[in-house]
Amino acid sequence: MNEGLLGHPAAKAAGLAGALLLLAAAAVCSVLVGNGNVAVRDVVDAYSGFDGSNVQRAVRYVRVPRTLVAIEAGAALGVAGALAQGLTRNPLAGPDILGVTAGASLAAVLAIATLGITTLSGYVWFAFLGAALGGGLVYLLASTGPTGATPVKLALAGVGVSAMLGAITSAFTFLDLDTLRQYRFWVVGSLNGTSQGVVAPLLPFVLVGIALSAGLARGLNVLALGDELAVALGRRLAWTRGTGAAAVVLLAGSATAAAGPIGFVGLTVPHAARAITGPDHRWLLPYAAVLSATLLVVADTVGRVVARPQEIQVGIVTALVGAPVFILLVRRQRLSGL
Amino acid sequence: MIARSQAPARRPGSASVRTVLVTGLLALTALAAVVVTLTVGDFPIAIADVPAAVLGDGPPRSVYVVQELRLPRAICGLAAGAALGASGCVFQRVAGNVLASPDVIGINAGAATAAVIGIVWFRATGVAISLAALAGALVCAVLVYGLAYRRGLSPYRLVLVGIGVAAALGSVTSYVLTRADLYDARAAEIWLTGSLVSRDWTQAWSITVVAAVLIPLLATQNRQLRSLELGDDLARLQGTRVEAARAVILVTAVALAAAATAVAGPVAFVALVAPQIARRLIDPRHLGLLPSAACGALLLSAADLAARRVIAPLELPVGVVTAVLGAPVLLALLVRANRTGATG
Amino acid sequence: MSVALPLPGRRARRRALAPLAVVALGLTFGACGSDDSGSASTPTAPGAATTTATAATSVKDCGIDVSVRKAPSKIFAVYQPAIELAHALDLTDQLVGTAYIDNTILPEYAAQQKGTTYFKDIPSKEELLKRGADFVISGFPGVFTAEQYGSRASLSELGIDSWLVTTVCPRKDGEDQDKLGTPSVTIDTVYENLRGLGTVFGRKAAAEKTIAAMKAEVAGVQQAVAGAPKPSVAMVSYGKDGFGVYGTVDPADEIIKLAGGTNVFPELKGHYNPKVGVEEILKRNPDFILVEACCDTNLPSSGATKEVAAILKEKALANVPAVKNRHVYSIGFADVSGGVRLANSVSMVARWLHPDRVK
Repeated sequence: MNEGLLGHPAAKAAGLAGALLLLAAAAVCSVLVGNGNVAVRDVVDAYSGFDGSNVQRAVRYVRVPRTLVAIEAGAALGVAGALAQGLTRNPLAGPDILGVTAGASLAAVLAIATLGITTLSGYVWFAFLGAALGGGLVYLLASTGPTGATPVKLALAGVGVSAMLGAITSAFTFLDLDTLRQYRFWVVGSLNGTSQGVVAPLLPFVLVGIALSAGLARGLNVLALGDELAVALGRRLAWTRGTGAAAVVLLAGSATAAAGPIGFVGLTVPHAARAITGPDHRWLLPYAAVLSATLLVVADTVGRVVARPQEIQVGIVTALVGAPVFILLVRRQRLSGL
Repeated sequence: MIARSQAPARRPGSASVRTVLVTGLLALTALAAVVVTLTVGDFPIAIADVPAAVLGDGPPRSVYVVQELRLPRAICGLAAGAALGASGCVFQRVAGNVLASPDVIGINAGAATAAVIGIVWFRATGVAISLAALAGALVCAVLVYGLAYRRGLSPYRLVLVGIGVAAALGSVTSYVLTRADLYDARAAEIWLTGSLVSRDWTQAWSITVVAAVLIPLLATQNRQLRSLELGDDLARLQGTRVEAARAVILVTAVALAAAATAVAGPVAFVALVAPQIARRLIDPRHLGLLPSAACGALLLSAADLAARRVIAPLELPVGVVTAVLGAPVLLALLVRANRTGATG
Repeated sequence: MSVALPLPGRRARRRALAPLAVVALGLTFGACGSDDSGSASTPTAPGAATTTATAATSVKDCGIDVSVRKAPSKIFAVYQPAIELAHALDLTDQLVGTAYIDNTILPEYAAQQKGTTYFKDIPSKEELLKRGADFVISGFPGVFTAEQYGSRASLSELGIDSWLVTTVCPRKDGEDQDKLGTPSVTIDTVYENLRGLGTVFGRKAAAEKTIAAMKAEVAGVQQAVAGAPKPSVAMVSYGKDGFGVYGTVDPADEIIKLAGGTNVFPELKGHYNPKVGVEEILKRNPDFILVEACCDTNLPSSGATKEVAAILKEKALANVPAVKNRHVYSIGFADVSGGVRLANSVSMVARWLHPDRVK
């Protein structure tokens, strides 16, 4: 097992504190920089002495909520990715590769388009259902055959299922022309629309997901030793996997409901985290959460700035950054397992 | 001559009766699909009048519909399908993997991205678009090959790297289309799925010429292909300069995929599925280049026929049809490969 | 694997099916490109040296000569402004098909429209031929691209003449919306279109009657708003991916101007409906926000109730005058097109902008 860059627990703790500082810096940037920069004083005033001016409103109702959504969705995706990789002992696992994101987004699209459900608290349940079905289907397909769900099989099944879900979305798009407008946002992850009232309704789900993950950290460490050893050490594998899968669904479903399908964050960031912390999930999970949140905040800020006054969806930015990392992973990793 | 002495049935260039028969049947069925394409449509023409219309006899509008609307489109479907089938067959054989077909590993995506950039940024038209698609496909192929090469070529690394490259390119295409002054998101969707609507004779001729030159060219490379397929070590023993031979064959296959994409857009799954169907019909020890081409021609023609008719008088992009039909086949192939342990 | 890729979250409309031509070889016909794309149509008399101005035999439309029709035609009309124009010119009986209606048809033409064949999307070229069409009137250039019905030159080889009812011509026959000419859009282009079509179909009287009515309506508005302070207006679409700006290649800018207002997005010319975020609206601080209602035959101009409510509820915009004073209104997508509605649109917007002056 490879140790990470930071060996000693104290170093890891210090590193985590550093990562949190980085996230804080990115968040501050996200609030201050954008379409018309904002002074720190405006931000302080927006909360301490709110006078209803446009600048303060921009801070309070656009920049800050948007940054918070990016942090929430990013953290959820990072933890979901680290969990998925730990549960499947598979470096190529991630909610985007496993069909979880594609399932969540198609289900939400169908709920919005055919059932007319337009509130977040309404379609988030469909996102969970879709996430579970998409991920379940991929896992089922990959598990066929004598070798079980190997990394390559999971990745391939994930690509196949994602392609199929994408094809269904396309066909639906062309056959049902009138609903096309309603879900255009769902085809690429985006934070361009209003971000108010997004963080709070999803927070319980994300917190439960993170709490479940935290409780699984030790179990995941044992799982990494292999099924037989894990059973010998008294782990209930089915329980660990079941709870873990539920957490992945909650986290990835929430992130997709908040921001649409965002690729490559959940897959790649846990690897960066692992390179720093080594395989111990007690450190890996918090690092993945903080680093993913940072990536999403930065990607969204970039998307807002590069084409002013127009905005680029965050999903396009993360795919452009994430795909090369994915390719590096495929080159570097021995794909046999973690 | 190790391979030959060990497996006498694998004599290169000798097609069994069954293979010839299957190829002929597939080709005939593809032609039948073309005949159906010529006879059905929103514009009513009696079947008996179609042959005359093909030759230019009959009411001008009937002649126009058959000669200018249905025929070039049918030929584009036939030739692009054959090109994709042959290209897929070569990729799958050289890489030794079902999934290493040009539509999965990003070759089509590379062609489409380059074409879209050419159209949107450089206002390219006609041949320039085809050349852009070819350049995009070649650059993409070199990129995927180079990135996947690491002390040799692992088929799965190739596939996974290709998937990553395809995703990044899709993102680039999305970005370009998002920034373009497109009136309609569906115009973009067509460039991300593929369509054969309104193809004309220039396009029909260009893809036909490319397919008619390059597919037989590949067929003459049969021996090299066979030896590559046996694995690098054996091929070296046989004296083939592996990488050079591989490069020639792959560039030809890339050109076929690029030409098809320039005409039809990044149509999914034809290159993947056609060789697999062909392979199950013929003697599995045969390479199946021509059967794959025939099967690809059949699949794309039939899919386009469906695309024209299912919501008539409106039309679907053919890429949506091939994706909806092809994705389950991909999954079935995966399950099958898993069962036999071929996916590792 | 193309189908798994993200699609651009763009305007997802069902008007311009015809896209980027994969290979725009249809253009080999297209020697009839137009350079004077700013003006839609100017009556010309070929062989003008010998003919008098009253005997025009053809009319120029986007640089293409359209012959005056001698007998009744079989017209296929695509997109709302084209359809309503045909009804206004009393060509209803000659319509063999109509497609693409974005809002409820004008009440004065409702009865006429009822009797025509309607397709909710553009049908195949074969369907066009099956209906025996010998004339296509389109409200947007996408119809005349290689991916749809082909360039106008290629259609005329089939004996099908065409007219492009649009405020901005494409730079060249066969090109799409992304290649429009100089986007200086005025109501005069609508008058030119009416006159041109009136000449082509022998409906000059009907054309002049419609123009006179439109001019009277606009003049009335202009008189009423003369000298009044000009409030600033943002005309947008609104969805989960933010705001899309109008007034770039469509007549929104002209409507706002004639109704006695100013456009808050004067510089985004030439881009079709570019997307901006909430912050951009905050920055421009409009006095009025007009949000589009789109894409159904039964959707009235006032149909964007959800969008209006959402904008009024948007806390970030609460201090923007438009929201503070509840000056957020729904406008039909068809109202922002270059057709006979334009005068209506001007009065409608003027009533919102200057309620004390325009009744």
